[in-house]
Amino acid sequence: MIEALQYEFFRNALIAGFLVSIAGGIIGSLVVVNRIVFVAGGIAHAAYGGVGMGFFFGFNPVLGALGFSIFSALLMGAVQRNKNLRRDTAIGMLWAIGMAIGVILTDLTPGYKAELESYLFGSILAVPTTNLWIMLAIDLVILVLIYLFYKEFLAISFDETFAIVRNLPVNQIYLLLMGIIALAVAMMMQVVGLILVIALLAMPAALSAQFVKDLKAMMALGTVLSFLFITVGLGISYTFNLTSGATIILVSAIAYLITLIFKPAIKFLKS
Amino acid sequence: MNESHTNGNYPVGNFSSEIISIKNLWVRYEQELVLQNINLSVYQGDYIGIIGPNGGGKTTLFKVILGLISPQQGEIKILGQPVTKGRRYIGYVPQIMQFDVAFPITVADVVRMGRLGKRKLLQRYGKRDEEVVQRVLDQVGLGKWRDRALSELSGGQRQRVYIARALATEPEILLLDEPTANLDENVSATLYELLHQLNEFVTILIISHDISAVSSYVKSVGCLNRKLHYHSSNQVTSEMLKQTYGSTVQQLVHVPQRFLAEHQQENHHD
Repeated sequence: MIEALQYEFFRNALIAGFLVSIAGGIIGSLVVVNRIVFVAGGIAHAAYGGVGMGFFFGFNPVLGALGFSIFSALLMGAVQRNKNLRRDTAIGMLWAIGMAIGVILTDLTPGYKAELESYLFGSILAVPTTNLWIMLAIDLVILVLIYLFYKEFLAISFDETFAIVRNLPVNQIYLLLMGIIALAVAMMMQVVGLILVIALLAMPAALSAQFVKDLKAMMALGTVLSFLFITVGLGISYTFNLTSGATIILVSAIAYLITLIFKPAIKFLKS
Repeated sequence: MNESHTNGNYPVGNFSSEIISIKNLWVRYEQELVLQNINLSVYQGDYIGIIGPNGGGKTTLFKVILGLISPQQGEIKILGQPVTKGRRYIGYVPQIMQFDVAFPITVADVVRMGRLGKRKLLQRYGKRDEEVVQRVLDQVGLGKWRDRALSELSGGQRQRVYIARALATEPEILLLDEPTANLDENVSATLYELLHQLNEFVTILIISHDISAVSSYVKSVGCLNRKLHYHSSNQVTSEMLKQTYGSTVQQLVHVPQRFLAEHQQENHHD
């Protein structure tokens, strides 16, 4: 793996992994404590509509995915707030409609479409330098928003009713959260693909939750774990010539299973 | 007869200002009538327990007071203001059962949420907030637990954390929703003892289905089953129980004999 570092594509992959980990650790924690992993999955799949648009109209599909995921996230956020709807049904529908739009638009686009698969399953080894800059920008936006609204995000995640009674603008904060999740999802899509985004959002955060005592620490440890899994997964996929996104997910899954088994032992040693 | 509205005659002599005023309140869900013509005045210094069967409208009454649902008819004022403004004077203590026990959060983080309404968006918590957090944690006897994870605490301790959070809002009144649900008898007793101490400087309104526990600690009791039967004493009359739970209630629930007074004469005349 060390000799691979001389290649620019591999260095880019590691940088992408690092940038994605920041968004994944932070947003993954919020997604997990809010129990909206399914919603994040919906956003990821709906974002495919934006990829299709990028192909069809000839602009960067990452920007298409970004726009589409923000749009669908706000729509799903509004659905989540509406107590009169069957929320899971509505989100499942948005999930499928977004994908269908993406598929139809790529059908209508003439020419070679091999690149499509990279949005479904990720292509961390083929992230162009421009996209690294987009990722860095998204990370900065996420960090600033989380820094500014941390107490509000914590409040609505932990006890929304109390936040309402304290007269916080709960709906607006929730929509802001959905918007940030959309940013993270669009960015992570490039690394593990839209199908596997939810796993990379949920697993490092869920694992980290078992060892921390507050949300900030969960975000920090989630980021570290995410970077660890991506790097190890990348190494294994490079060595054995496997699909990188899927390898990263399986590395995370194995780590999660190991803690499930050994956590009682760790707790025992601590006490 | 109408005994749902009483005022005056309050055990705490010096206090007179009205904290919560509910007049002619009606709430329906779809076709079902949940609250019927509720009238209630809560005065400063009161310690009121509202008891009643599950589905009797207790939680709905709280939701209306907190402005979470709006009534079809009637008026609620908190310190003379409509609920969405006046609710900032309420320290709300929800049931602990509705929380995710595994949520990664420290005791101090939870209590600090009580300061949310005092800080605007983009404004960070300050030194004064930290002082309040420490003070209220000391008040509920958890001063040394502030940096612990909430998940390490027992049920009774977690209930105290939520009371501390409510106190951190510097409330005029505490609203507690089934504060002793799922707690064992000893823990419940110490919790009521704590509330009794807090009542020296804050008005308290509790809802509970636990008649015996509530009626032994509060100053006055109301029975709610769609209609509210409220007395300005903690005597639960057999008639109140009959009207609230139906006639078989005394076989179903244990009510300490000394709190089960016969229906008093003065409550009859209107």
